[in-house]
Amino acid sequence: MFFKKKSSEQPEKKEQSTKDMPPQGRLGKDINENIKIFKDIFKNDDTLVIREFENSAKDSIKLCCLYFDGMVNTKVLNDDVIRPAMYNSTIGIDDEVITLLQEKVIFSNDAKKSSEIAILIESMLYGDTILIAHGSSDGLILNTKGWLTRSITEPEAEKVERGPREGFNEAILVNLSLLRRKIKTPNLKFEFKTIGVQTNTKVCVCYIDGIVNKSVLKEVNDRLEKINIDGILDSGYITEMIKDEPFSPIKTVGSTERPDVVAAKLLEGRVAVIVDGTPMALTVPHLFVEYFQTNDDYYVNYIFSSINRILRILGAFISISIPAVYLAFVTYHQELMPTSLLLSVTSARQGVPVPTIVEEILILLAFELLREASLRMPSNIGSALSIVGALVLGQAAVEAKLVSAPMVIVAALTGITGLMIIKLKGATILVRLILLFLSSIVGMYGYVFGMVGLLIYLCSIRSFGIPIIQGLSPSTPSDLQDVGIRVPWFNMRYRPKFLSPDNPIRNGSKGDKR
Amino acid sequence: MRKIAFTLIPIILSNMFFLTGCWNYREVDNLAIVAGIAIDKNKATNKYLLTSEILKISSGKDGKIESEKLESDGDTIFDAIRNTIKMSGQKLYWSHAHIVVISKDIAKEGITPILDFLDRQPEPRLNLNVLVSKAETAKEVLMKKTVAGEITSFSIDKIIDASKATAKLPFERLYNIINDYSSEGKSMSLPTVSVIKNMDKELLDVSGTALFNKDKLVGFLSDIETKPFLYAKDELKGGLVCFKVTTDVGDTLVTLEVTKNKSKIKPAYVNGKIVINIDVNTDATIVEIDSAEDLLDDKGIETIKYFAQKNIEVDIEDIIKKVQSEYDTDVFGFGKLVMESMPSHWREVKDDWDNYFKDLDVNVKSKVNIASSSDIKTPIKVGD
Repeated sequence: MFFKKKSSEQPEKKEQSTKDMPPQGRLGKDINENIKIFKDIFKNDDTLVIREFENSAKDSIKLCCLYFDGMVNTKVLNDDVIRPAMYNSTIGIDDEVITLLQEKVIFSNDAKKSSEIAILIESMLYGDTILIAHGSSDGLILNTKGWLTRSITEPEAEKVERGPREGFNEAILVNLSLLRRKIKTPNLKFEFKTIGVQTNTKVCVCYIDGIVNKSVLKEVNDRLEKINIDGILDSGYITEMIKDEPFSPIKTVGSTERPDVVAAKLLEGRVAVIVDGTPMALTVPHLFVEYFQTNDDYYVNYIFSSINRILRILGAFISISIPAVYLAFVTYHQELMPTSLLLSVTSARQGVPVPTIVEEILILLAFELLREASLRMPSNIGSALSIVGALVLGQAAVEAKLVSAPMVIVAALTGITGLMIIKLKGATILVRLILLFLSSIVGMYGYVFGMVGLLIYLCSIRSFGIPIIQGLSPSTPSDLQDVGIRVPWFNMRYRPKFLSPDNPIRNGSKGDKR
Repeated sequence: MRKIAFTLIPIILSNMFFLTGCWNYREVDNLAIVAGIAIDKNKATNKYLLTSEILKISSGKDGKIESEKLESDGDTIFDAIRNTIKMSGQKLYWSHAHIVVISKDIAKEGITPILDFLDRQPEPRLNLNVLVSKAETAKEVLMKKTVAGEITSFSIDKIIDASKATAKLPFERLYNIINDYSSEGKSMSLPTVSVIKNMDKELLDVSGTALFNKDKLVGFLSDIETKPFLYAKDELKGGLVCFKVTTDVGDTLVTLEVTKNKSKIKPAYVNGKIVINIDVNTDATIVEIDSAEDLLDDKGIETIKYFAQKNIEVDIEDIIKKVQSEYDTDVFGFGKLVMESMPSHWREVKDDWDNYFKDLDVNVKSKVNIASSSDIKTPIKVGD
């Protein structure tokens, strides 16, 4: 249904896009004609400001500033553009008027000439001011960008115990400056692209020349080129458009709000894609182990971070396994449980009206409902939710014999471990349900076959040409240095080889050839 | 070594998931969990009489676990088990059964049917404890309360586990018993249970050994006789050695606690005869000296060792003699050792092993190492 609709819209869209093409043509010499061109293009747009003035020369020339209200820094515009231009008394009518203004009058740090209407409009839409003069067919693009941005704060979703507290915000240039401040090398490259027929969103591909895996870089550029969409409001749009396995719950494109994370990934040879208007930067390729790596792993003591990371891996494993294993034990393999455990489970199950599988699905559903509800709930009524969740669903349900107490423990364990790795959440829920279903029909066999299937599936996924479990299988000690155990920095001599085939050595003694 | 461990552990762990046994959907609350059974035989009808202890689990916060006993009969054991459904309404679930008590009478007739049933069925575990009842019937045993807990079968299991510290009970689980049953040159020996009177209450006493020849009961060893029996089989895990030490000053009783024991049992061929050499190597600590005299100097320790070794040697020789003369069944497994280390000689004697065993020469040598004297170095002195 969804696909059908999409394909039937396709031809219509193509037609539309030709209509939406930016206006062609160049400016003429007559300023009034030129102003009219802009007025026509931005008909019914009342934020367009047209400021006409003249300079103080004897045969004064007519000048005009065009910009969008709210997009520019008016102080810069007043003091450094309009004031010097008005006070100027030397420039008369001349073909070279714009060049003279650019070279001798205007104080702006960035002033470019262009006569192409399309380029002028694009700059205007990006916060620049256009200065046109009578008698010249060139416009001057002046950098007066000055809209309000959010300040640089620590991302709520990626808080760290130790490490830099800055996060990306919605302005792409601010984000790039944060990256530039971390990696001060001429090899750090930023390549801009514009994506989105209507939104014309700036997208920047970042990489470190000499470290980056060239085939991945080429693949990223190719895939970005192929995107045809009317608007990009978040990097999530791009993620879905360039992903390897579009229908898979497993991510093949990483995302983060932290510049230090992006910098670290660039240093390992990955490519980052930063999108204007969103604090979420994308990094590719995204390997499976990256789910379990967090940035403060690298900032705190390696023993502590290794323990934490192993806990995270264990948590993910428990989260998908516990419901299925519990079900298999309780309904198929009672002989596998210690006698005392069997007795306490039996005692708790006495009088529960529904079969174990129904009980289990109900309580897992209840947990997911609570989780979703708490996510969308204003924080000031959040405490009500925890009361309802803990008391009504936990205690009261057990006391009323609707569910058994071990089942509540299973659900709680599943829920908590499931939230340990928030980025893996969607996949966890799906895998958990599949394993639960399999183990409900054939017990432990189902669980085992499900796990084997999961492993095969993970082996089959690639992210930009690199298998997402690369490094785990086949593995060498240097591939495993950053998987379960994060080795100390002085021992982390190599980059992951498949990420940076040309420049694998990360550290060595100073005399080493790099 | 480490490499082997690293490859073995994952294989074992992964097998844990594959070797899960039969699968069969059943809810835990619908199980009639059997804790243990007692098997008797009705002499009049020649039917098996089965007493099963079934767990009755009540819900609620206290979650009390009690047991209920059911009696049923049948032509075969499995028939008797299925006949319990008439009363319980549920199939019996066997995987958590801990004990099987066999009556003296059945043991004398032969326990092949019972072992076949337990080995053939998938549910009973192979680490089940099989005991022989010294009381009149096996049912009697299961009906008694014990000090160790509410559920008789589980208490018996607990007592058997704890008996390692006393060495008054052979540690025979179902898998050993079946191994012994089917192996040449070794007869079965099962633990026994009897009903005793203690503080005017009838209680269970789990100790002693029942000796079998083929599958038939031939006699019992008492709890005291069981210890040297375990020495001779190299199955001793603990226990005490109490003996009299004679010194210049007088006699005194000394008690050692065995911390580790290794009996090397080696058959040898000497002068056309098979001889069994038993080297008993015992590590022990002194736990009690009933004398104010200081025995803990070098000479004293040597004296203690001497008497301890003598004591152990005499005990073992006595028990072997007793088994040879009275019961004539190779419960020590000497025949099996001969078969393993001297197969050619075994072929000569194997058809007549029972007679050969009767006159088998056994040399016992004991070596006791005293590791420590517990917390004190000098004895407490009587003040003036």
